[in-house]
Amino acid sequence: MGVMLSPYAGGSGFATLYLPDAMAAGVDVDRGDVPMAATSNFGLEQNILANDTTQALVHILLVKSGACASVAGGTITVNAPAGAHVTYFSTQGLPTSSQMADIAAPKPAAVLYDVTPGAALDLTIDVPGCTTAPAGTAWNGMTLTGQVTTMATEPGDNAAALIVVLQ
Amino acid sequence: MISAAMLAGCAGSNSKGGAVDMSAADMGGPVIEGEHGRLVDYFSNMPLAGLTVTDGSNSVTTAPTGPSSCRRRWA
Repeated sequence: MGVMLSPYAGGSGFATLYLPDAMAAGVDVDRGDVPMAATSNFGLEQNILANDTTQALVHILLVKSGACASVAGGTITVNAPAGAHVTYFSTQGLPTSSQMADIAAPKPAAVLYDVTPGAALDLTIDVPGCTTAPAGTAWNGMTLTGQVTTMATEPGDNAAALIVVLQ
Repeated sequence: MISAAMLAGCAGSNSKGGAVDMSAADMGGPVIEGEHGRLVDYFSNMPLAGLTVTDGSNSVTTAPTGPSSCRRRWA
């Protein structure tokens, strides 16, 4: 316990995904199912977003727990860094929606793009009937730090993921 | 501290005491001690073998999901 975990995953034919940083809170840290995008699908995502590939792309995964039964109709506002944008995923799995659908982790509900690599993210997440779990809340044997490595999307097909636990 | 209990269900892996040490499990799959998960295709949800998970200086290559009683590994 008390060990910082900061993994990333990738391989031939797939985008590289930086997983959320976490402190091990127990003896069994379960990352669960981690969806990986084939490079062709990642290219499609970027074509849809028309993102600046010198900037980072961060998927936002929302975990429903407790009284939080749905994330539909929620909003994510990017307060910083300047220039970053947000788009929501449709239930078909494409970043084409202007409204948040009820998509819970392990798949992302939203994607932030044009994020300055290494910049601090300041988000406001507003989901009706849900509140954000307090900092330090253990989930699946880990305490999420709210941080993740961000890199330019290209070259390398790089993406990052952040997990927000709602209750 | 993590490793021994972490792998207790996986038939006696080579625990080394480091929280994220990598060692080979006796039941055939790779592990990063202290954390586990399963990489799946975004659209099909099918498990992906042959991808690499790296954490610090340790890395493992995912293998097809092992026996259901031994899921504490990256698969």
